[in-house]
Amino acid sequence: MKYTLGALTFFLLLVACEEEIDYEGSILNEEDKGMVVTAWVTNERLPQTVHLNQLLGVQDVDQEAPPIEGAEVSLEVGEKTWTLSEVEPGIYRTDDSWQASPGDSLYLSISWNGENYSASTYMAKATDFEPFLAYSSEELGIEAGEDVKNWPVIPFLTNQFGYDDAARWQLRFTINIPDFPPQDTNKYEVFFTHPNLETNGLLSLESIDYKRVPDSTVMTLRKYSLSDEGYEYYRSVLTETDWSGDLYSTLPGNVPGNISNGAYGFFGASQVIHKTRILHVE
Amino acid sequence: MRLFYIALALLCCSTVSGQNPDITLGQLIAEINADSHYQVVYSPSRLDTTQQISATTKTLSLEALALELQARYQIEARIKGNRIILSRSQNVKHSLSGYVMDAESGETLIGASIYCPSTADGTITNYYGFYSITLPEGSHQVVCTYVGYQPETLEVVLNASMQQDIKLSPASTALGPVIIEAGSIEASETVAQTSTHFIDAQAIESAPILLGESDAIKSIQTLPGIKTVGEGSSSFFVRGGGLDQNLILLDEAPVYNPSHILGFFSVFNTDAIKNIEVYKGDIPAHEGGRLASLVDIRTKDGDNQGFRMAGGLSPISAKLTLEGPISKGKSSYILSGRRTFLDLFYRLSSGDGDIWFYDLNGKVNAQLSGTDKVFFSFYHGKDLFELNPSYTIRWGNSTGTFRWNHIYSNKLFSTLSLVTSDYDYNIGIPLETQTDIAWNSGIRDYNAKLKFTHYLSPKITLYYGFNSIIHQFDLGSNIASKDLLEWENAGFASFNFQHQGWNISAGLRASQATLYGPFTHFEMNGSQQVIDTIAFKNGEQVSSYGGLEPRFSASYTTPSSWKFSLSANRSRQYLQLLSNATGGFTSFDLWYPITKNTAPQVSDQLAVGIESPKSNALQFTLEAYYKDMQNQLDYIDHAQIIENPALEAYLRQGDGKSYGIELGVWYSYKKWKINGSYSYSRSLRQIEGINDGKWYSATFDRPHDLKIQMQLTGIGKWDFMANWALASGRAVTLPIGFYKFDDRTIPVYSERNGERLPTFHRLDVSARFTPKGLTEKRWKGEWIFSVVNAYNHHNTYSINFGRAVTADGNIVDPKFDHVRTNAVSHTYLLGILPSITYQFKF
Repeated sequence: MKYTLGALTFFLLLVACEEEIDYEGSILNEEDKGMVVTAWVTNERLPQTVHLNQLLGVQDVDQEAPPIEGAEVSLEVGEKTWTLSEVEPGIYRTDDSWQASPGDSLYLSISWNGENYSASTYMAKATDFEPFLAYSSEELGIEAGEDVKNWPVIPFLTNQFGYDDAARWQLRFTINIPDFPPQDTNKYEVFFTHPNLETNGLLSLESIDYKRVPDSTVMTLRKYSLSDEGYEYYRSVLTETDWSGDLYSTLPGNVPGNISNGAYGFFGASQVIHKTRILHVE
Repeated sequence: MRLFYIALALLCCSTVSGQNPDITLGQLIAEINADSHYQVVYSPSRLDTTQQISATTKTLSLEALALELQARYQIEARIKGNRIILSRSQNVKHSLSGYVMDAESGETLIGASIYCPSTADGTITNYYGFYSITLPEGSHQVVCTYVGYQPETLEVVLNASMQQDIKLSPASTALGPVIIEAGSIEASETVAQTSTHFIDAQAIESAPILLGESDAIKSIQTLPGIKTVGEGSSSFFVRGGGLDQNLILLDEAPVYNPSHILGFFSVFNTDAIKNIEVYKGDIPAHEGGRLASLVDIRTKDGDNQGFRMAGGLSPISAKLTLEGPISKGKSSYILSGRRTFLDLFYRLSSGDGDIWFYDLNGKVNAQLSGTDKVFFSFYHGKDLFELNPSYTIRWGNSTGTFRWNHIYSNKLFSTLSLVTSDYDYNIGIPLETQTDIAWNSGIRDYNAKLKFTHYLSPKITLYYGFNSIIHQFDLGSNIASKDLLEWENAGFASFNFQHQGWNISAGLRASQATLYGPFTHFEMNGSQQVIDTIAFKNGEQVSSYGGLEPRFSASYTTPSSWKFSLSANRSRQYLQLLSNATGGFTSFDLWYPITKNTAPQVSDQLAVGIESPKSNALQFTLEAYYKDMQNQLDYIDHAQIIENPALEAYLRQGDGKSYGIELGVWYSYKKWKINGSYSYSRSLRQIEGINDGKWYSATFDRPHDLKIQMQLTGIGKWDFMANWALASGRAVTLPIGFYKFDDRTIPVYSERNGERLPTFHRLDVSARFTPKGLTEKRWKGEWIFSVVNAYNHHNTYSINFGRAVTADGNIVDPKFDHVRTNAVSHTYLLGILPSITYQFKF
């Protein structure tokens, strides 16, 4: 708490303070801590993973979620069914034969403790794209210090791919310079696009940023297609987490899930297109 | 008075005959005296013998003549022996009218009572201090009373309608504390029956104060049935209505955001306020546009007798008021300003950011003639709250009011008001990936209103007129522009009838509003998804709504002075505030018109009440109400509200209801005055697409609400005051659990506003010290010592989960040293807040 001494009197300045309390709100009993399913599969021919956990109580928020072990988990795509193996407590995985394509409907089923849970989703098609081009600082007319003068620059516009299809994008830079700070050698960021009116706030703006990286940096841009339901799920997650608590937040609300029988979480599917470039000033 | 009699014998037959077609009353008397054995007796000073009467009266029998004189000429004829006594009928009445004003300053007094004991007739002054009472011809005693003033008794002789201004002297020159006479004073003009409170300037000044600032809104928040969302808020919620459902008028101009410093103080400078009327229901037909309440704040006219100066220095601000005559006794001015210096402390304490406000009130009035009076008043205020140089919130209100009061006759009074109000709101937004931007919203009003008050008889008063408002909106833009126009019109008529304990008011308001482009309409499907857009050009009609708003109230006061009342009314509202507020102050503030997708809000309220006799030392009022609301707005979950042209896609409209009981108690004993209120109420919403379509609590739904005020006055040079409040916690949406996804911790909630913050309670105390001997001097100063939150209770503002705690019990960022995680903490706004204020009048 901040104190200020005035000429006439002293008073506590109007600054909010925080202190620990004994919470008297609703607290879940152990038996009420339902199942949480998080599963997002792709069309990549790789083993796909499903996570099963219990809900964390409000006073366990920083704990590891208790895994749900011993469940029977399967994935169906068309006529084919994969039974998943529990590779670690609460982590269930398909074998290498996994195969799914854009336009497929996928079905997840789980049996645990005498209860059945299920979810279905749709793998939307991702359209092709051209990745970012690299320019010199001089070409773009932006200032650069002597040490980074020859580094390639990426003009980064969140909406430069348009909003023709819903997608989650992952932009990763891998820098192969021995003396480069290790925490900066493998960075990525995520952004979203959507064909309907772009109502997710600030992303709709014509924003421009410039990302400058050392020469020969490997840039990988992965595009994950999103169904409308999947996009709404991600948008809700962001409003409840990254975007929560700022000046433009509204009332909190539950992130919509698609798992039956009262389980929390989401089962989604994406087609993935990825492109990799080694960046040089072109 | 000199009297003389004329006696005349009337003819033995009881028929009066005559030949002349037109005669005067004197001629008739002369003929009767000459031609009959009756003598006609009358008082020349009270009977006009030149009055023309029909010659046919002479053909009537004596009995018929008496009836004719009575019915057509208001002349009473009584036969006593061989005398006919003529007198002006007691049914002949004249109007006594004028202004009631402060004898020292000339300030008109609103709500002053004028009472005639001999006839038991009474009235009260209207918003402009004007009264009109109709009394039988003759001599009367008229008593005028007003809270804080010595009663004045006048002897009037009414032979014709006359104008008589009444000057009241203050009961004490000292600033004596006065408890808000909630519920015990009837509202002016409409003589409203229920749900009305009257607060005068002394009552506001007497309430315990926050950091040296007495506050009008804080006084309103102490009234039964009026709720807040907690500390540090100038917002209030009336009988289950939303924040935007309160019509706050400052000299008839709407104030769209009454908050200074994020709501810790209101924009109303108490030095400039004359009084406040609060209508929680039973809003008179001449006012409209909001569902829940009318808060009618009137500023002082200024002293028309001599120059005065008043001021004060509190820990956060300095203020100064100047007033005086322009032409002594005829015109005056008042100018009052405040400026906080909290910014100096804020910079000292944090070094980053800024916070300040200022406001200025002014008013001039002039008595142009015996029948014409004009006023011009204005308000201008600005606020800045800056978290850091990029994150800023600015807002401000400006209002201007021109009024012309005209007295057409002793029975007809009119007011023409031309009003403007301008509200601007601005957020400076820092962005990581681009240049910082500004987001603006606002509303500007141009309002013309003509109202007639017609004192038809002692029992019946009529009110009628029309109101036309142009609202101009800025619906959120990067460059401020108010180019969207809504035109709201209303015609109104009402009457008030008082007779033998009955007091009935009924009225009708017909209202209509039309929205004109430029505007982009978003066509939506059943799932509220945008499927098409329609662009309306400048001036093109977008949408139009209208309807009737009946208002009715009635009360009956028994011979033993118990009062029973009932009111029923409908209100319509053609604009709404979109905000993201869960606390008191909204950081997203957007006034929004009616559109094709958002219909006007409508409410129907029924209230009943009982009030104990006002003469008792212990008084109480008990009211119960039920309110049904339509087209209530709320956001769906995860709404994106800023920089979103299709904001309507995230809005839903549905039903609301509220109900409750309100108890007010007033007790006075020697130097003690105690009042208290308790209310139990609920405010619920049911909107498709929200909370699975189930009923849920509004944010401000706080069922139990207890407030107690105590005053102990005249203990030597000291007065003491205390306020204690106890209320249910605010309804909030809190998580019941969490899960992890993509390295994020996602909360899971039970239902919207399904939890409550802990019970709120707080004690505020203050003491006023008036140095000895100063009361006789022109310079009057006083010291006010106040302690807000005297026992330092930490009322919860918000609850936080997953906090890290040090060994000392401090909440820290998890990246710092800590011994424990997963703690639950709460944020509170106020600790104990002592302050000293010096106020003076000169």
